Amino acid sequence: MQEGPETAGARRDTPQDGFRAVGDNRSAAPDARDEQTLVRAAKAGDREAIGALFDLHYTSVFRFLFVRTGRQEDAEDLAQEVFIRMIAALDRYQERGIPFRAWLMQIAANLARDFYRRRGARPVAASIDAPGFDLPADDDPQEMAETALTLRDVIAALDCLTPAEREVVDLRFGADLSVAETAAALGKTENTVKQLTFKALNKLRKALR
Amino acid sequence: MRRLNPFQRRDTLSDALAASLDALASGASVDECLRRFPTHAEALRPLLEAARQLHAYGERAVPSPAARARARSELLARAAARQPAPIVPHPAVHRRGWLALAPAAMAAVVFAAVAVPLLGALDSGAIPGDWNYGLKRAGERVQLALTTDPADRRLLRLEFARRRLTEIEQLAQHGRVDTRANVVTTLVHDYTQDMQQVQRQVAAAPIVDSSTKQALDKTTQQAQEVLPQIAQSAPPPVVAAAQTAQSVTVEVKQTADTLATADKRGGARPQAAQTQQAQPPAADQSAVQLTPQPTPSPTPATPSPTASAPPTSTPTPAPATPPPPQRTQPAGEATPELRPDQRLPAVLTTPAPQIPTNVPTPSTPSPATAPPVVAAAPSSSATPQVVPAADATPMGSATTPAPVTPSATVPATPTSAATRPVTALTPAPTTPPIALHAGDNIVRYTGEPIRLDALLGPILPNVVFVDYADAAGVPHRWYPGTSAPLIGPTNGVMIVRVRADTTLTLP
Repeated sequence: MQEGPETAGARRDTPQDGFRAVGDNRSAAPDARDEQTLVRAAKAGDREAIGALFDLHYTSVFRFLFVRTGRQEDAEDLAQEVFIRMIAALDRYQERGIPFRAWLMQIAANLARDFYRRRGARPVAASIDAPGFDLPADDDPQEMAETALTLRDVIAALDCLTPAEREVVDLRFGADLSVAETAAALGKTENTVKQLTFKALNKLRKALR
Repeated sequence: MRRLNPFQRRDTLSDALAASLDALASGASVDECLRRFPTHAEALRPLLEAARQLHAYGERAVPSPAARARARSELLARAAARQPAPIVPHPAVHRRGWLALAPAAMAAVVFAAVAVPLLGALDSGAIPGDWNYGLKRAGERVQLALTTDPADRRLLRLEFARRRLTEIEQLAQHGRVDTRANVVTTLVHDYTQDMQQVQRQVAAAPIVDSSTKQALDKTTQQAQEVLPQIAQSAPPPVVAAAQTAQSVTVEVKQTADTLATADKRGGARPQAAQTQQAQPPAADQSAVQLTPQPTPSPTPATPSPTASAPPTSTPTPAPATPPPPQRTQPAGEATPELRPDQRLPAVLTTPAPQIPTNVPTPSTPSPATAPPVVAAAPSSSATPQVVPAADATPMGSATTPAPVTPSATVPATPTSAATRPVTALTPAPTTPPIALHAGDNIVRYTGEPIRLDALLGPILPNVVFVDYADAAGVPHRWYPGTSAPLIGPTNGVMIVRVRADTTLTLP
């Protein structure tokens, strides 16, 4: 069975270039064929396959919900609910529709929207002091402080985004979804997702100057 | 260099940004991305830097192991309690009874009465991406839902299949096969599903009427024009889907032709072995005969030396074309009547064969790949192509019965010595094993009624599910471990989805 993304040791240093450092264990998009096989087996009731799908996607789902809700506890509760809904709706999932990961994130995005609707609030960014937010345990205190400051700036800058931009950013950079997956998860066109990403990053760039 | 207005510039910059972000996610460096888009490098750099910081922010979120373990165990507990349900009514039906659906039903009736004619009129050549394409497809679903007559449903499905082909053709003409590969793949898949439904319904129908036949001919012809084009130059997923679609088209056509021929002859539908035995059999491993074979009878026919080297049909003609085998047959022997449970050829998907037309093509025998026993492996896909000149009655030309000539008429006994090599007197195994490939396989069983789980026997652990239609053509899905239906000649067409390649030996 496929090893879950969390089973290997985690690397916490910030990559200096590119998104992925060596040994990065973020849940990258799984091979589509393997994932389809897992999904088919899961649909047929194979518990091992269901567990493997959980291992494959839990971190992405959690991260997306964490950046949406800003609270570890809420993100964990919602992530659990995402997978419970997944198992309930698995029979209705069709491979030829949207990629499984996007489908899962669609559930997560809907749950997050419900979450905010119930609370009458808008998405908030996490504080770097919040539980669940893992700052790099660097040896160099100065570097640690700089990273913390940068992250504080990023978190503050997220407030300048519109809800649509924020949702796209959370999926693209929180859950690590591709443009196509983000478009499928949000029911938007790929072009719209590209535009929203561009606008969001432009705003962030200005805010982070 | 052509100057871009600000909007065009933003479009191309956002495209470059999206491509760069994907490249970064794949491990590329910022500098590599900037080198790839030199004209946007200046604008891209700060954006990519912002993206990297944002990404670092998301990456810091770490779930607690306890929450993760709790979620996992909760999920698995739910999974254990879950029964993979085949086809269930809407949850509202379970919860509140049929009354809960009354408003929806009334709305559907009103919608259907008012909007269906309108939607029908909107079948205007809308293609994916057009504003009214969703309406067009919704209209099709409504039309189908409101059509209860099986023959009309078949015609509708065929019409929808042709519409999908037209849409594919139009997308190809606009050069959008590459850019919208997912859409094209879905269209091809929808076409395939419609055709598979038609095949099931045709097999379950008491007779293949002429309008179905004409519509099917028309669809086959259009498929022959559209699908090979797509299969030539499209991206791999589209090519794979197109090949499957071609294969299914062949099967549907052959099933309908076989049954139509039999219906014209007087109601007794032909047994696969009879149809196939008049022709050289295929060596294709997917060419299987699921009907239990009678043991060979020692018919005192004179074995012909040429019959011992059975030719085979292949999707593409082989360069060498040995003469078709001559078979000895008692003069004047009539085409045998068939048992009802032996009327259909076994069908299994084959990769992208030629789509048959009503004009038979001379066979291309290939002794190197020929099976040892002629009657043991008739192929549905071989039907139209491999008819020897003397008995070249196309399957589709039902109005032209096969001429009965001494050299070509089929012996009444499917495994007659006339069609066998020297080993013919050795009883052949009742059913050859069928090769099933990972994924969906179309299988036809025409033997005595048997429970589906017993039919699949040892491969059950490998089976994901089985789709089958009952005698009325209503589709069902069965999962191993649930109550198994009876499968027999009236509902023996199945789609068996397996996890890995395997072989199935039917009882």
